[in-house]
Amino acid sequence: MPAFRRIYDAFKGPIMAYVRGTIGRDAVAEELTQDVFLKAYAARDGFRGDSKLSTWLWSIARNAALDHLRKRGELPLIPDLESGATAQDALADEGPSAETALVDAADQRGLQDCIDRLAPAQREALMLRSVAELPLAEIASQTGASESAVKSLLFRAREALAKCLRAKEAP
Amino acid sequence: MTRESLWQALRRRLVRDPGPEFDRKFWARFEKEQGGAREPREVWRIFSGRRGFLRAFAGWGASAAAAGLAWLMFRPSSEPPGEAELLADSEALGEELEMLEALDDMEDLADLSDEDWELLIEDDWSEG
Repeated sequence: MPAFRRIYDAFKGPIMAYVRGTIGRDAVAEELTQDVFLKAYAARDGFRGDSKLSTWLWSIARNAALDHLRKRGELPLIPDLESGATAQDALADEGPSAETALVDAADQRGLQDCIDRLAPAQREALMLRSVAELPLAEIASQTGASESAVKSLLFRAREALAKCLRAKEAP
Repeated sequence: MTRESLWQALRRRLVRDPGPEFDRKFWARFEKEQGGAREPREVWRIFSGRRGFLRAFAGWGASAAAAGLAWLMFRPSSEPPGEAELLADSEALGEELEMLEALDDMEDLADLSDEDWELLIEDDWSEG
């Protein structure tokens, strides 16, 4: 099977989830996802293998999502939160937790709604960490933020998501 | 109790196959925007920087040289081999070389970094 089709098949789901999660509920998520693959195909000769293919694809996806947000006037600039970097940061990347159970228990609409309610920068960091599975250093590199800023954003995203999911769970 | 991290759980909940309708629309758009035009890849790009290819080729060359030398040293000297015998030898040698080449390739592929893998598959992007 040609490589492009394999790449499309492997990444279409994650990229669609990332785009949908980053731009929020928006009818153009599907079209933007297709744009990502068309741009990648058009730019294939520019890919020199200096980075991982997935990193290159995620940067195209991120640019497509940010362009769209910029047009809507909602560019999620990741703030420098160095001062917020504390021991809490370790929680940003830990294993199983109470939040995991909350995510499992939430219905699809409720989960998407809670993600949509996150601040744009938190939402973006959350999507890059969870859906794109990028390590903290890579998120920092892609967003131009420091690693501790990314940790703080993830910690806050995690807190806000859990609070929203708990509220939905409550009778 | 789940062993997943929050990020893994989110990924499992959020990542969905967009479905056949999405695929149909995408490939229709792809055909419309890319057409049938395919830029032929330059030969040097296919082979340049391909550590795996070069190592496999070197392995193949060494195997071929060793097999050829062995054949020259141990071939029957009393009478010239018949055409059928030569053909059988040639086919066996060919199969052996193919197998050695495949093994070299596999060994190389096992060692490939992500970047090497990407370089290897890069050249059939243009096949769409």
